[in-house]
Amino acid sequence: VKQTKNRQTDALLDVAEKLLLEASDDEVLASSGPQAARVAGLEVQALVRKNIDAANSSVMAPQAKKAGRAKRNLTAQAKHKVSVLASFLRALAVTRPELSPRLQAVFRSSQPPDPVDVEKLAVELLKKHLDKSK
Amino acid sequence: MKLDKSEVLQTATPGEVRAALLGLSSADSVRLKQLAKLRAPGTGMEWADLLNEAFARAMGGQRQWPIGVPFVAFIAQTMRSIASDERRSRDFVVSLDEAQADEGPGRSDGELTPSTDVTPERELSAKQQLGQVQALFEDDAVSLAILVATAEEMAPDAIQKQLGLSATQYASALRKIRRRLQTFSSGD
Repeated sequence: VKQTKNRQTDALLDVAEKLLLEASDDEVLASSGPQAARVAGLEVQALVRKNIDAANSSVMAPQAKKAGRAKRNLTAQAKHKVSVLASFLRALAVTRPELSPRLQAVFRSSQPPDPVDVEKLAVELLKKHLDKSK
Repeated sequence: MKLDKSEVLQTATPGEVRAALLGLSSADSVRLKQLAKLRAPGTGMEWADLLNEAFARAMGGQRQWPIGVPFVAFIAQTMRSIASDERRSRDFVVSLDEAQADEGPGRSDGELTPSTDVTPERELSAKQQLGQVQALFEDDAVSLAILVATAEEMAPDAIQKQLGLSATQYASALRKIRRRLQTFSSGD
């Protein structure tokens, strides 16, 4: 008897579900009223957003990790390159300060030089060298 | 609408599921909330948790969306299945608790299997749901009779004959039932 009652309840819910699914959009919106429809829309959209964001982050997580690693490697490489260049230019500032008045200016401070200044200096010296060899 | 069998069996890609979720209309949102509120009682879940779980399963691919089935109907089926599993697992916890409570010195087999019988918990949940539906139609015996007869898989013709309704009266009664169900499921 109990099982029959459970089955009846399930069947009733299935019928109710079927009726709700069959209702037209106008009927559905009219039954809830504009305010409740707006609230339902926002609530359901929030759930959709949550699931899409979760799916995005699970897809993006490995990519972001990889990109982060690559960026760190690039930064390390760039720093290494600058430091090689900076060491070379620092040595020039001591041994050949006449090459450019900016050589000593860039390396005057005890702080590490600005990589942009180092690059500019390197370009200036390279240009001078190229002009001389013409 | 009659669907081609191959159309029903073909399942949507994750991108199609995502597009369907993003394309839900206001009416779809209301419908989904109503359906979730209908299924949630007795599961221990709020309607939003039930709907969220259905979305998650659809997005994660644990539930495959057959292309020929309308998306809202597919999510409704998913919620139905989740609700049913939740009720069963709640019954299982209850039956485990009962088994442990009953376990005396004479019982040493230690075998705990989920009960497929009607547990008091499941019966209570069914009673609550049945009570909710009955309460909705307590002042409208005809509507309740139509609902029960439909649940018993009686054909519309037979229901009309049994209740002495014309086709128009029957259609109007169905609209009334739908409205009540919608109002009930739309409330907070």
